[in-house]
Amino acid sequence: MKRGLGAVAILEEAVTLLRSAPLATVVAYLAGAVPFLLGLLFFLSDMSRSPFAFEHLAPASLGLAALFVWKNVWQALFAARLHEQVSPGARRARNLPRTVLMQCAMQPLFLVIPFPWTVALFRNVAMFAALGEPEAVALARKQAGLWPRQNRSVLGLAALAWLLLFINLVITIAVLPQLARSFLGIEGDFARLGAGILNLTTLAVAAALAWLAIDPLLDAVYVLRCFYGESLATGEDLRTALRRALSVAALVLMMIAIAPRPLPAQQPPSRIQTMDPAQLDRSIDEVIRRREFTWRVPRPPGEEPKGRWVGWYRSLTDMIKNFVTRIAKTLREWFQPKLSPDQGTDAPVTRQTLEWLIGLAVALIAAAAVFSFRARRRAAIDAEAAAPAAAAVNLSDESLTADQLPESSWRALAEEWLAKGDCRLALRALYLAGLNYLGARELVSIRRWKSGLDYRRELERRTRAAPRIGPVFASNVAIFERGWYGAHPVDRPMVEAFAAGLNEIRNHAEHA
Amino acid sequence: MICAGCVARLAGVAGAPGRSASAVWWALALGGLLLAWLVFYYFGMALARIPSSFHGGPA
Repeated sequence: MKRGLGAVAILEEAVTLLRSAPLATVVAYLAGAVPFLLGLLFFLSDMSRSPFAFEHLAPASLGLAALFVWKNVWQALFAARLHEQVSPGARRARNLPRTVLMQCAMQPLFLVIPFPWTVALFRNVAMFAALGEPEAVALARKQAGLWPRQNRSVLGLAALAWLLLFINLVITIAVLPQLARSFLGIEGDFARLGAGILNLTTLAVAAALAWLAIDPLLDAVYVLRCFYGESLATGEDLRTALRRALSVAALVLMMIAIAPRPLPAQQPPSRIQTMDPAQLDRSIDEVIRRREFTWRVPRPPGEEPKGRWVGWYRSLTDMIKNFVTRIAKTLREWFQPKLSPDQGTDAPVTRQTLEWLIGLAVALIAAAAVFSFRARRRAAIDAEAAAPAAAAVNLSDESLTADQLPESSWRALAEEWLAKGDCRLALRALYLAGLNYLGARELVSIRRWKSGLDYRRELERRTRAAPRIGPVFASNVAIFERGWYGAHPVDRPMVEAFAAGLNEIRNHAEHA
Repeated sequence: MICAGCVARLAGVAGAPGRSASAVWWALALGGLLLAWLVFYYFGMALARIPSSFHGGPA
């Protein structure tokens, strides 16, 4: 144990220790780390984006410092619990106020002197303080000086693991919204950000999550280092191993004690069992008739078998044949008139005349029904066609969407308002006509909440095969927004320029 | 065997540093909190001085 365990070995042991940690230990760690991380992310976002960052920098940084101390106190308790888990018999009296004071005094030093030895020192101090050691700093310094090569290797591996985890998290955060959009059709805010998702906030979130995974592992490593370091003098590791061996032995003894007694072996049969040949033949015959063994057996030659199901099939076909024959016979009887004794040639209406009259009446009723149905349908179609034209559309309404009317109706409205002299409303109608056209060609999806910029980005993304559409549309959006939202007066040349842009978009889209 | 005077002297010597050590720890704790505050303050100031356009916001 002069050199200590290898870095990989102690990391493996640390992982095992963390995996066997009870829930209360994990909660103790999260109770400190999660509030600090959330505070840090909020602080980063606030300081990098808020225009009033300087005004509340002092209280925000003080709050973050308090959260830092809070995190370190909980981390000390977490390390102490891990140590008790490794060395269950060595429980010491804890002193929480002293732990808080020591954490408050020592841990901020790590912010300005982050070296491998100081990492070990500060984590050891935290653990010994939480364990209630009166000489926590001296003990921590002594343990931090042990096995420096192991310490550096562990920190190097942890840094590499953090970096790989960070890269993976960044890739996941960047790619997941795009995958959700491609495969599930979910187009949220993150998907629309595109490459813009790789900003400071995202990187900070990924870094924090990666740190949350690596930091408790480092705590476990330093707990184990202290445990093995103390054991050099106290032999605590041997005592712990002995306690474990004794508990395992006690368990084995208990299992042996409560195990059922062995029963005497069964007596062998007095005579050799023989098998009946007839039973054997039956069994073989049953087996070879099973479906899994019959697929290669050739069909036996001879006449077609006449089983019960074959007979059923034949009776079914016979029944259908009889039914068809009976129907045909009945129809023949109906349409072959037989002269009855009471139907003489001198009767006022013959049977044939009556049949003709009935046929004529049925034909007239059917024609009337068809005519009536077609007349009603035409009226409904005329009403539908007339409805949009008749409906009064308020072009000033901001909630109007381009899919409420067909493109031709928007254009008609534009001409109507242009004739009345209101160029602004005509421009809005033309804008909606353009969106309707693009929506019909599935180049944009029309939504009430989308802005001109949203449509522009969407169109650029979907018209990579026709790159000339995007700039024309962008120019049209600029004209529209200048006139509709801005104070720029809308005149006829502006509307005509917009209409020319629309025609150009249409040309490019149809030749794409 | 230790005489009563020596015991009292030893007890007094052991008690005095305990109180002073506690005061030292209180002072160190306040110093640590101040240090953490300063570190985060200057970190925040550095972030706030970066132009918003760097973060994708309005210039």
